[in-house]
Amino acid sequence: MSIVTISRGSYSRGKEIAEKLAETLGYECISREIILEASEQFNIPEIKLVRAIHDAPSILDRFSYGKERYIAFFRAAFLKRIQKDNLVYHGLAGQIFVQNIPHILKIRIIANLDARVKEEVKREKISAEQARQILVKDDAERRKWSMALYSLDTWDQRFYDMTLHLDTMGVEDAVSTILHILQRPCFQTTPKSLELLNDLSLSAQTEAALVNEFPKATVDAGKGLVYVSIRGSLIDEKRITDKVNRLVENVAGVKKVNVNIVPHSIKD
Amino acid sequence: MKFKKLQNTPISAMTYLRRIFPFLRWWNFIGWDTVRADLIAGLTGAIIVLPQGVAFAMIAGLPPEYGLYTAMVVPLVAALFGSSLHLISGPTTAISIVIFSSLSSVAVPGSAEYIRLVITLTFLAGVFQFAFGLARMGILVNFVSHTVIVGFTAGAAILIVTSQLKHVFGIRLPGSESFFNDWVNIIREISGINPYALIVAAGTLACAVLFKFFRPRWPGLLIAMIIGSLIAVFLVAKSHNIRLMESMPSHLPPFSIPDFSLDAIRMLAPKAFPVALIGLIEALSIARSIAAKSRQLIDSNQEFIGQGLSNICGSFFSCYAGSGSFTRSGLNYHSGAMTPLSAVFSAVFLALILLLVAPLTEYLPIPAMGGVILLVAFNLIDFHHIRGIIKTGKQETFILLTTFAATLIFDLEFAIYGGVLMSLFLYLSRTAHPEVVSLIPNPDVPGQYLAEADSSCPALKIIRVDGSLFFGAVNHVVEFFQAIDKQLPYKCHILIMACGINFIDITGAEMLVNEARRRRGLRGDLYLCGLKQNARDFLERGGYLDSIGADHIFVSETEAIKAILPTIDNPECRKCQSSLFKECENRE
Repeated sequence: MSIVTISRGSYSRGKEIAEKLAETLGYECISREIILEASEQFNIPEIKLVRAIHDAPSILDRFSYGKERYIAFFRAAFLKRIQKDNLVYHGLAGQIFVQNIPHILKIRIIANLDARVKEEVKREKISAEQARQILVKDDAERRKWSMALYSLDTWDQRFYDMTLHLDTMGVEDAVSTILHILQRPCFQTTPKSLELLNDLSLSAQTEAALVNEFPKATVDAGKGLVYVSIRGSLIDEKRITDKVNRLVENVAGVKKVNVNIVPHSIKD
Repeated sequence: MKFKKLQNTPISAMTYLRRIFPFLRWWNFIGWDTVRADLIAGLTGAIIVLPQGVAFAMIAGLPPEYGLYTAMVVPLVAALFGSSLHLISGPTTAISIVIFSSLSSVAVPGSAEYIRLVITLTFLAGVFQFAFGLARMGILVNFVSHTVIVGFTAGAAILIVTSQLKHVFGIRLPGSESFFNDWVNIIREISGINPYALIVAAGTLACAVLFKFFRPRWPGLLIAMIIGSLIAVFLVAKSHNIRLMESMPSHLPPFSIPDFSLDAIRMLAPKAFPVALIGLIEALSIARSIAAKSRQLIDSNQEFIGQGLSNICGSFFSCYAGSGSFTRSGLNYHSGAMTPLSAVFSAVFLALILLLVAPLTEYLPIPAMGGVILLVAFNLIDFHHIRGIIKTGKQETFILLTTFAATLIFDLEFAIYGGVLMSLFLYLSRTAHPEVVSLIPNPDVPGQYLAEADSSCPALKIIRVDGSLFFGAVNHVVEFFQAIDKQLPYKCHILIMACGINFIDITGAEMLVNEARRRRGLRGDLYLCGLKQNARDFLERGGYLDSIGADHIFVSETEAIKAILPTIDNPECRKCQSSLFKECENRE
């Protein structure tokens, strides 16, 4: 009863490790499936979701909140899926959404750029220079994405339980190491940690229900009680509260909604 | 009160930048939703300020366009450099009147010389305000209590309603500086009501109310004014004496230079001071009034700086002194403005209106403006807090009513001065009378060793002092000690639960020493328990602790009672059957 998220750069063999790990454990291995699920559930073109969780937000995105919208849908689908437990997720953004869930093992796979370039050249049949350029650009974009949206650097090791460097070990060794650490009690799902995950998922489902109307809404949930914070003028408090209640009434698991209007945010 | 820093975190360069450019503090909050809300509020504000700017400039003895220049430059700078998110600055009645009364005797109103003096006066008032802000004198405004603000706001709302009734009724009233005279004049002229003007005003007001309730997100006030204009067109306004706006000059504020000569500064500085002061009080009161609704914390010093800079900059763009406007700030907030960008948009829209559609303003009926302003004024009255204040007690209600009445009867600034003085007086009275309560052991509630009660032990009186022991409060506490002596002559031992004493000054410390000596002379003693560290340090530093006795200071009440009771040798104690303390049960 465990969940593993694997964050990786392109061509760093993270996918291989995830698949091998899932196979050994008899778990489901997921990545792009989340995008497909979110696309179906919220009726959004797949390409927009892919771009939303890959490309750093532009100035225009800041005003249109397009990025927040798609990320909210992706996050809701992701958290709903991992509630099922016993799975290995590899790909973008996963570890960011589950930072506060202690039992989920968050792994970062890294490899030397030269090794990654070699792998890309082998797979994509392109020149080494081209491969290098693509990888450097790709890495920078992903860092910018997480920095812009969550103020987190995906290269910061503090956000992971373990970092594996594939220069000093092979895929088999990496899988074996992960399997070993996964046996520790702290990475086993407990009723309490599952409750945390359920609350997080409920807040994500609520956020997804609200995001079209209130793209900057933040939601906190606990045991069916949902606390929604929304930017807006206090003059509109009643209208906003009514609207939130209407939008959230069909979200499964919501017992009561508390709306908090945030009229301003002033930094020191 | 100073808060100790939890961490010694270094101040970042961004924090410094935010201090210099305060608009960076709310800049990150801006999004499409806030821009949309601010655009609507800004557009509504720009239309409302048109007639007001003209009217106020005329009150100040200036050509009408100067009011509009002031409504463009001053709010823009004040919004970006001030603290309030919703305050709209610009021309106001109070400042206009003060400027006219200060300078009309020096130069002919409307003349080039008069304009030069007004611009220099504006510059100097701005410098004063800016200096007050830098000197961090904004703290003085903290003495304007919330009750004063609520009373002042309600009074100002009634004044605004009164000032608009002539437009709503379509009557012409003689000039008056008194609220009551205005009403007398209105009643006297009531027979001359223009029904067509009333229809336009009532129609506009009804539309604004309907939009407020049924379509709150729409720019209701703006649409209501357009509907009011259409009603006026339908009623053929000119043939029925419905007053319309005058045509506006279509150019932006021209550059101007204040007179920096020593003679001018020497002559105008004393006149600029009250302008600066009234401007600050007005702006801060309005900012705080709206902040009470928007839950914003106002930085008074920053607001001073913002007001000062707005007037300094304004003096270089043909503006006269401005301050916060009650009507326009209220309107701005109620139109859903979320950031000071609404003031910026308002200034830009006003400029565009002047440049592009100035001739169209001729179709805007003044009764329609009056109708809209009536609704704004009504919304300014904070019924919720008024009810709360009345329920709280007589003192607060008295302050509320007095400020409200003073706003109607006297000048706005006088009403605020009066409210502040009353708040200060009541605050001083409260701190000079700290509550002193009698305590006895409480066996019924676990964990609460002592409880308030009227009955007490015949030998040991336990009291709790809830307030600081300073020169103003000493007399009240001494009176309480003497009352103990009169009522219970054998009660010579007193234990003071000092957890409520935040501060002791020399007079308070000497009072404690004298009381301890007096008690010892009466075969008793004085003890203190739960003394706060700063109070204890003060007693120690001044040598007062030696006189009271370091062994007479206890940390907890159980420790104190355990130590005091065995030392009591009191005839009343021997006769006592009540055994209030556990320790009494072991006494022979």
